[in-house]
Amino acid sequence: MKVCKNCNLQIKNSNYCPLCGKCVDEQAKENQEERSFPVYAPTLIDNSESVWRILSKLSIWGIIVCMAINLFINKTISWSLYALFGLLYLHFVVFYSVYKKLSFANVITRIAVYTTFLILFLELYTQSWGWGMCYAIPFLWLALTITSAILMIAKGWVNFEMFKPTLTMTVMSAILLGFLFGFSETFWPILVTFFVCLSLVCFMFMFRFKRTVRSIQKEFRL
Amino acid sequence: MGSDLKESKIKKKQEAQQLKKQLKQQAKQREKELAKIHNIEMRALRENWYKLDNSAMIYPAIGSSHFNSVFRISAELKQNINPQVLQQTLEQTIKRFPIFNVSLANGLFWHYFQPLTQLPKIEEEYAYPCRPFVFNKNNPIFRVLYFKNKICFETFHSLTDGFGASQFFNCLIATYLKNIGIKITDNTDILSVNDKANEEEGEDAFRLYADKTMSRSRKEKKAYDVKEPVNPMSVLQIIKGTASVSKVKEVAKKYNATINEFLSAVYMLAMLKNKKKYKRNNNPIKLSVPVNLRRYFLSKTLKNFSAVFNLELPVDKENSTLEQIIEIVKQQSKQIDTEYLLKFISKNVKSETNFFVRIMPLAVKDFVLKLVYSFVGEVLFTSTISNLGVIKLPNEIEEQLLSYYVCIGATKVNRFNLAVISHGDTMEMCFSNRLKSTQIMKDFFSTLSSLGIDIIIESNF
Repeated sequence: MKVCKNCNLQIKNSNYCPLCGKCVDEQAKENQEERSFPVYAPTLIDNSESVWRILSKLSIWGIIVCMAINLFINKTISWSLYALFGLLYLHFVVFYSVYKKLSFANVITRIAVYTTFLILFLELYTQSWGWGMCYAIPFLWLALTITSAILMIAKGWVNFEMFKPTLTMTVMSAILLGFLFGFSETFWPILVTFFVCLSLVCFMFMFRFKRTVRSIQKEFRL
Repeated sequence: MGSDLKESKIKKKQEAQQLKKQLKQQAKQREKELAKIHNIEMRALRENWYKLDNSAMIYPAIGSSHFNSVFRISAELKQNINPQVLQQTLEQTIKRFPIFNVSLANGLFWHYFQPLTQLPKIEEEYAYPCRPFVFNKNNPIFRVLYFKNKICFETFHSLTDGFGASQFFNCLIATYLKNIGIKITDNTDILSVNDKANEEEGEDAFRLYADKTMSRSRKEKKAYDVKEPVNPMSVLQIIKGTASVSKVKEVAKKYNATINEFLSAVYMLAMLKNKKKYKRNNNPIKLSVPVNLRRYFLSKTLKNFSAVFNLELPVDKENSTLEQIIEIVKQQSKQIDTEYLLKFISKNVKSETNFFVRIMPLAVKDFVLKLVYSFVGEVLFTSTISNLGVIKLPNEIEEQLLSYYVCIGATKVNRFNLAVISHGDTMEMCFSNRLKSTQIMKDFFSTLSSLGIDIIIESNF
């Protein structure tokens, strides 16, 4: 066993003291085969991570540049907010889903939630009330619910991953229905969406009761 | 006559062909039925799920793609590892520990463990220790690695703690040695692959012992932060020191302290030297000490069941000698009793069962947890010293072992940690270090050496 005179410690399987970095045996270069650790690659580059980083940085810089131009020319940040929300949407829905290799069910849930936020922003910011909450959001949820139902039925009610987006859209449509019932006259699109979502959940209970209960327990940690 | 023979031959041929067809059809049908049964079994497995225990819930929230709480147990054997036998052994062992063959999944409100339909695969070690896990539905949250004569078990902390991991690892080693033809007669200290998994092994013991009437404050002072140049997150230096248990015990006895108290004090002294030299900030040096709750409360769980206690060296006592620091550590260690631990458990379970926490969607919950952890988590201690104690192994296994050690992954805030484990008369102290400097580790081992303890150093750098 070699001894590091500087640290007064015995050194195993190395010609250098790992604590002070000094050479402990200059004459006999030890056979590195005895090492119990592999020789690591200098840097392990994860391509997807670097792409994710580049896209994140590009998004941030894109927003900063947009805001700067907007401020410089119009003295406001009016149109650059569209760019900000658009990029945030792209980031959380498209880039994130690809980077994290999310399942189709999770992607559908993300689309439902983030597109709703984007539409709400556009509706509030442009002060063009009605089109988003009354039509765009309910029809989006309806389309996503039907997609989930098709995917579930196509696999003989086996693909229970789709339970998550279906349940999310049922809860969200119930909330929006409650809201529109008090504030708007046009609530038939959300009523239709809510009943489609609810009937899908009911079908799940009718045909796959145990699995549906188990899925609810799983999602809500009951 | 000739035509009759021909006809009978043709008939026989036809009969044989029909029989073949029938057999083929039967085989196909059987295959279909088997596939159906297999699909049903797999589906049932997929639909099964396990809850994360109370302390496991924090780890997915605080992790990122660069870092998640991973620790490793390694053993070096006298002979090189046979990958095929190791793979076979892992397949045998994982059936005994079904709660380990899971992936981490996201629910609407909570994370949960999803049993995996496929068996885990062994890997040859190629990267730095404790590299983060990628969470998706097909990835297990542990890995078994091999390199030359070394077997490593790395796991995400949500799955289990040091005790649970060592139980799995010991079983894996014992089964591997049996599979390569080594007879192990005494099985009392290790779980056998032939036994059935016990339900108690998967219980959340925190919930069993939590008392709603008890609670504690999380308010604590910020700890001294060693702000020095660091290596990238993916690079982890391992510095392992091997000593004799009896010698360390003898020296600790001179100070009237336990091994844990003695090592904690020496570690604090090493950090104190660093603080005096650089004076980065004037917060007290604090050491986080995980406590195995199974020593205080009856439980067979293999999930997380540990608490943490922070030892503190007050700023006004920074001119203390080793003896004085040992006294401070001894005084503070007296606080660790059943009542303190019950308060710790109860507070955490109370937070989990809080109505507002329960109705928070997972994304929000993770964000809040991360935020809370940045204030009352890692900033409250400078480093961690985790002593897994003595691992009891049958003599036949002990004879085959060259070394057995644990290392904890270093984080963004706590850039170096120490894990200690003993087996037979060997104590292995393993630093995991992200700092470019190794001064604290050098001071730690030099102090031990100056007290007459022989240390053998090994590193992956």
